[in-house]
Amino acid sequence: MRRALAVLAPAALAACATAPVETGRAISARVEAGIGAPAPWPRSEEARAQQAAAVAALLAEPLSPDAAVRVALLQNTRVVAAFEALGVAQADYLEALLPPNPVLSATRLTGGGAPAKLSVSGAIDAIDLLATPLRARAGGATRNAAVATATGEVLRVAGAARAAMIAYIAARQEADLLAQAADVADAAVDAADALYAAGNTAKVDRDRERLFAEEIAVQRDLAVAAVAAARERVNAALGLQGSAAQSWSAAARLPAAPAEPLDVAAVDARALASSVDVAVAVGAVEASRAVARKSWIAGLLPGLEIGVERERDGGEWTSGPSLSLAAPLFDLGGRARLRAASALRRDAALAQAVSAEVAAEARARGAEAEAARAAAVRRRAVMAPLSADVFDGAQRDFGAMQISLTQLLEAKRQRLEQGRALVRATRDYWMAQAQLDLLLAGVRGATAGADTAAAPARAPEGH
Amino acid sequence: MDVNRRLLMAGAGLAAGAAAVAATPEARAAQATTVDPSRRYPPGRPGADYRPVTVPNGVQIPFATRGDVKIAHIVIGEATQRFAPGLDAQIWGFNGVGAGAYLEAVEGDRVRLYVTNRLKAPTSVHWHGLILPSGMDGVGGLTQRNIEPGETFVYEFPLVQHGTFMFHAHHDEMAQMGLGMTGLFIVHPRRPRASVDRDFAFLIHEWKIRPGARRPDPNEMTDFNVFTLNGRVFPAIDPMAARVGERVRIRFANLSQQNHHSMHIHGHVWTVTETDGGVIPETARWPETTVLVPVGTTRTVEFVAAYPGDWALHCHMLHHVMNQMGHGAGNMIGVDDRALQARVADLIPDAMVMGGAGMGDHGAHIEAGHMAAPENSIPMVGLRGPRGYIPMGGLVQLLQVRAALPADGKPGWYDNPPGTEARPATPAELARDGVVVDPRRDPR
Repeated sequence: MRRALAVLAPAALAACATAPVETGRAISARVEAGIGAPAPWPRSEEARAQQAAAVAALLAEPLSPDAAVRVALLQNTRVVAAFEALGVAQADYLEALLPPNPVLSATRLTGGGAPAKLSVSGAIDAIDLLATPLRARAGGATRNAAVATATGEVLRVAGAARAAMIAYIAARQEADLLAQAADVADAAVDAADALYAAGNTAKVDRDRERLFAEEIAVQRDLAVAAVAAARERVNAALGLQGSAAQSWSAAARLPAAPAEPLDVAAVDARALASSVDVAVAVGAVEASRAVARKSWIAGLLPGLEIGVERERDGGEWTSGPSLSLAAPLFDLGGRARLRAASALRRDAALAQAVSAEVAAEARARGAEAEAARAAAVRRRAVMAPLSADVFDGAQRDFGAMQISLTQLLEAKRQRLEQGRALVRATRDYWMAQAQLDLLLAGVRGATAGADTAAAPARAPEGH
Repeated sequence: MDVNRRLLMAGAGLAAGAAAVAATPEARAAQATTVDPSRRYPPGRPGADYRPVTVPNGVQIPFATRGDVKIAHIVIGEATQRFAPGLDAQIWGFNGVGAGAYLEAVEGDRVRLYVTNRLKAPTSVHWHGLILPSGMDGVGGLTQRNIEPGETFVYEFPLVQHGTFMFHAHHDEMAQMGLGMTGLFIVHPRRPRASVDRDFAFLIHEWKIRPGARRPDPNEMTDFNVFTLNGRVFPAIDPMAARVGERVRIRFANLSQQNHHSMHIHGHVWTVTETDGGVIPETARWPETTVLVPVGTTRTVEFVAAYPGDWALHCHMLHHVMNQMGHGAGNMIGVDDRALQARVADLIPDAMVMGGAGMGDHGAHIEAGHMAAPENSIPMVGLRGPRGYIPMGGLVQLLQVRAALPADGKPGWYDNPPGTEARPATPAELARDGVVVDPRRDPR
């Protein structure tokens, strides 16, 4: 026993010191493979200084969605928190590797003039000792689930940063277009004022233009406010505070959606292979299976303890092994076995459900992303030129006295509205693409914007 | 065979159909005729039996003579017609022409008119104003069955009157006439009572063609924007020319959809001599400078081209003397268009805001490319004249009267003799005549 403890303890300590770091590197590599940016875990002041310099360099240039992801992975302390959770998981795992501590007792009895009677004993939970491999297996499964959970946390940070930056750039583009639309509406008011002043129209005609211009002004102001809110969501997603939160700038516009159709073949299988949720669910099943086996053994020999006892009654020491066993008069172990078996079947069922959900969501995300891409491409390649043609036709109609100046300005506003629709379509595509990419990297159900408060994965029960 | 013998050619009158048009003496008195419908006449010969009419830019449907019958073949179909450079129309017409084809014959002629329908719709042809057998009147469903697509019908009747008449579709009238199925039918008198030196004829029509479109909209009831004379709009129509002292006849025929037209001559006075009902007795005529030509009628005027110059002849309905006038621009008169132009310059750099002082320059700007217009349109486009831009279009003609005409009949612009052209008044003249002009009120 002593020898066994002497062997286990250093190995466990060594594993405790190195496993989280290695796991963190593996997670970083996986994140980079999935979304194109690494997630380093700074473990020293020097490393933290290097990361700060890298963040400063990125923030010095207008941020694209890709750059926002890089900044978030370097700057958002949720990433650090996710990595530190690995240490917690590793400690839990090491705890699961250790045998149960023995129970030692010593008794000295005196009185009656008789020599003192000494008794010492040691006992250990034999079932727990015998189940050490099972506990190790459950601990390993739980640790794997925790690694998957940490990976998911990091991916969600990246996804939230990308989504927030896409939303911000699009919001700013929309606000710019609405500002132009408001200017156009104001010009229509000026035209209506001029016609009214000349005595050519009724007051109600002018007032209609004014009311319309006010409506556009409200939309413009709301759009400006939406830009400010979107910027703060970017700050939250990137973990930016203070002057850094105020000074960064973003790319002028979102890139165009790709012309070629997306490769969504076997997207469900790809998502299943990398799914964090599936890994967590599988880990839960493995842990529950180990717990169920341990429960079965414990049910055979409930409360089995083995030990040694030594006693001195007078001058002589006597010694011998001891064994105790709970008499199965009331608790036959059935409840524990029922609980463990049910938990195993429940977790297996949940794992199947999670797999089905991930596969379905992958197909859905793929279809949505492709539809959004096609819509954005159609708007840019077909509708935008058509909109230009329509506006050119309106100008020609104006030249042919078919429409008034206010109608021409309305045509201009409609052209700007087409521009807004293109911005929204492009945004929707990149959002959908980001969701799909995140899903293929391992995380499902990530929402647009900066929603990083994903629900933690459920830990397996019973051990 | 001399004329008298030809006129007295024996026979059974004007052959079959003559009895149907042998009117009572009272009825004959009301129509213009110099022939006896019970007699037979040889086919009239241009230059010999009548002086051919001049139909500027019109297209004549020719007659061929077989025996004593004049035969014409009218083909009804769709065609592209150039109303003016820059404006083509997809019309339905006769022998490829909408509102610009004409037949010309002589009183006493017997005509046989083959009509082939190349449309996808049934049709019929009515001979407007002509006295003829009921079964030849051409009202689809009433006097005959319609001419189905691909069919060729034959109409045959004697011409027992003279004057300015018309022919047009008489089935689905709104669509078929609205798309151009109208024409002139000129019948010269067999025995003219009086002759003229110049004989012009114009068929008036109106259309709605949205700028940028090609096909006239026959559903339009009020907002017509293209007005043609013989299928052309001014200034894409050949002017009339006459020598000083010549007697001029102008025949106006109106088959517009909705509008009458008040045709006005500058610098002359004319007399209305005929309608499509006959010759107006001389004692019933009065002098005019404007003749109203209602829809579905003809009016013939005569006058002496007494005064040299370039004289406008035009409809006095103001929107009928503009090409593709648009009514959607709003009333800009009195508006500071330059300020508005500056206001929208950044928003719509190519927009040219105008109209604060009227639309007289619009056509010139279009022609100069200062402002874009829809394809296939000539909004407000007129003619660059010898002394500036003429912003008129549509129902406008020019009568060019000269002491002598060149061989090609095209005298060019008139040079007003010195002292006979309006010009800016000089300060000395203003002072001489006590005319005070306040420079502070100069609108420039």
